[in-house]
Amino acid sequence: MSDIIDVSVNFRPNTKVGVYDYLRIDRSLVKPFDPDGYIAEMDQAGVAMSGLIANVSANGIGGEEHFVRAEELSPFLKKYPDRYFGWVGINPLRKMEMVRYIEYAVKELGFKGVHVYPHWFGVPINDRIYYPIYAKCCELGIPITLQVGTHSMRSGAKCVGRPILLDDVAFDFPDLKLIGLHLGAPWLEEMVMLAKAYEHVYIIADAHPPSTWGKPLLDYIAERDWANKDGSHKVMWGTDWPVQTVAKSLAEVDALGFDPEVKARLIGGNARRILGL
Amino acid sequence: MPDTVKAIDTVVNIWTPEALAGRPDRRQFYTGKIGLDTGTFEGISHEEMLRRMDASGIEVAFLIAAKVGQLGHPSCYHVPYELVADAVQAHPDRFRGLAGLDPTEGMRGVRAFEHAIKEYGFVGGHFYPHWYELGPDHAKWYPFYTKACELDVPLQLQVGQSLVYDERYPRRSVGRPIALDAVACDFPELKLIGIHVGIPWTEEMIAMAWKHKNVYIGCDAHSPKHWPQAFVHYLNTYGQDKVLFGTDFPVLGFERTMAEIRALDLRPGVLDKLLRHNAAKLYRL
Repeated sequence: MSDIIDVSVNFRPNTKVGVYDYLRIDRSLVKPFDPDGYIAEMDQAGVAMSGLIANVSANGIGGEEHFVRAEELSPFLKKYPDRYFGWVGINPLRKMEMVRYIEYAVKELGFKGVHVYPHWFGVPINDRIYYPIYAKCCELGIPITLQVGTHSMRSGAKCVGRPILLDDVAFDFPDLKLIGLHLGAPWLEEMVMLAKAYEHVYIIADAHPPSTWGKPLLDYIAERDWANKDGSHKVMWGTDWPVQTVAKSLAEVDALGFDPEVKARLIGGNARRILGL
Repeated sequence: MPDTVKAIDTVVNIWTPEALAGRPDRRQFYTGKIGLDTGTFEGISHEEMLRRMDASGIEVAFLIAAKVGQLGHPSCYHVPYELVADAVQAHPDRFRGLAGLDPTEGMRGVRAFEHAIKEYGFVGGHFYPHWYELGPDHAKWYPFYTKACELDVPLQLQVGQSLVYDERYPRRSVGRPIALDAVACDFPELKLIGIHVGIPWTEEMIAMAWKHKNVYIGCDAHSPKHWPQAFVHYLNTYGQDKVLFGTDFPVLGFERTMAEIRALDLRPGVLDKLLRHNAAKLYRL
């Protein structure tokens, strides 16, 4: 078995949001994730493990909440413990309820980390309402990943996750494994700066086709610039399925021409180490 | 001694010579501004404290293991939790422990707080927003609020003006009572006690206690004979279940404070609630 790990796969995407119209995606083609069938696709692409997200979003800020419960996903984590691991998604506006939910999902259901799509909830990711969530992740010793950078277009969300906002969080929670999701685009330099500045800040490179990844990120992964000694160890590849798909995304990673060891870390080794898989 | 319940003083500083040893010099503040007698300022034994409590009708005192500013500055200090834990262990029917909080300690402080509750049996937390110039609604306090919710213990914090306790380290008054509004909205289950009345924003503090089910007021640190009229009215009427007795000893002495409270001639039943029942219920004693 290969050691390729796709860290981000949405379990049940929210197809109500307007970005589907903007990107001209035919909603009828977006099928619910089929955990049994998807194994075959992973096998074909040589993917050892996928990180399933119990994703939480809303139809615009203040709009209808789309909440995939951890229990929906956990049977598949149990059925395929070597193939799937779980991210528990949250709505940060629900505060203590989410703190207790995270503890339950991690301790009772075996989820590996917390996942947030902040822009659906309208509150900056360094706001006080996030601090109970960060504190609980520290206590449980689990990573948290938050979408940073641009938000979904034409969907009633707003940008509350510029990467630089993670600076407060990383400073206040130095032991927290804090992972910027979706590259931080269009502020790649900001995201890379934070990963350099803090031992436990990481990047998930997903959602954007690898062929479009910007130079600051590519240079960081390849450790090309002089003030960069750890970039090949701090970035994890993912698809953000259904936004990207494994075979195509991996082919594009190949085309980037990284050294074999660097590529191996990017598409699996780092995830195994950082997420403790 | 008048025929009333035995009081619970919810705000008391541990004041033995041992506890005071090595602290920054606060002589000017205590003997000057506050007018504390030199003998008491130098420290009193627990036995002497208990004698004074007995003479005043106070059965139980909550001793604060206060965290007073971020360590590293000569004006700041932390009372070790163990010092209060030892006092509680020596006099379990007379003392209870409160864990001081320092928001700059982050998760290390949160873990120490949890340890104090679970292992030392402390009954709650205590903090001074002004010593860190971080208002009660600042993000850095939120991990502590989270933990207090989880442990289901009350937190008391100084609201209203703060003073210049040490001229080398003047701090701004950041604890306006209205700052509790955000906290209580974000943590409706959290039991918060604004101590030191909230002066000079007493009515703001009353508004918070009236608005939020789990927000209370500590009447300590200000002489009862000088309490604002609005506060006396509140605790005597619609706020009679929401005010807790305290002295902030040695800022106020036990005997005189109790005498002044009795002289307020509160409505029947109110005095017992103030002196004991409200604290006993909130802290589950």
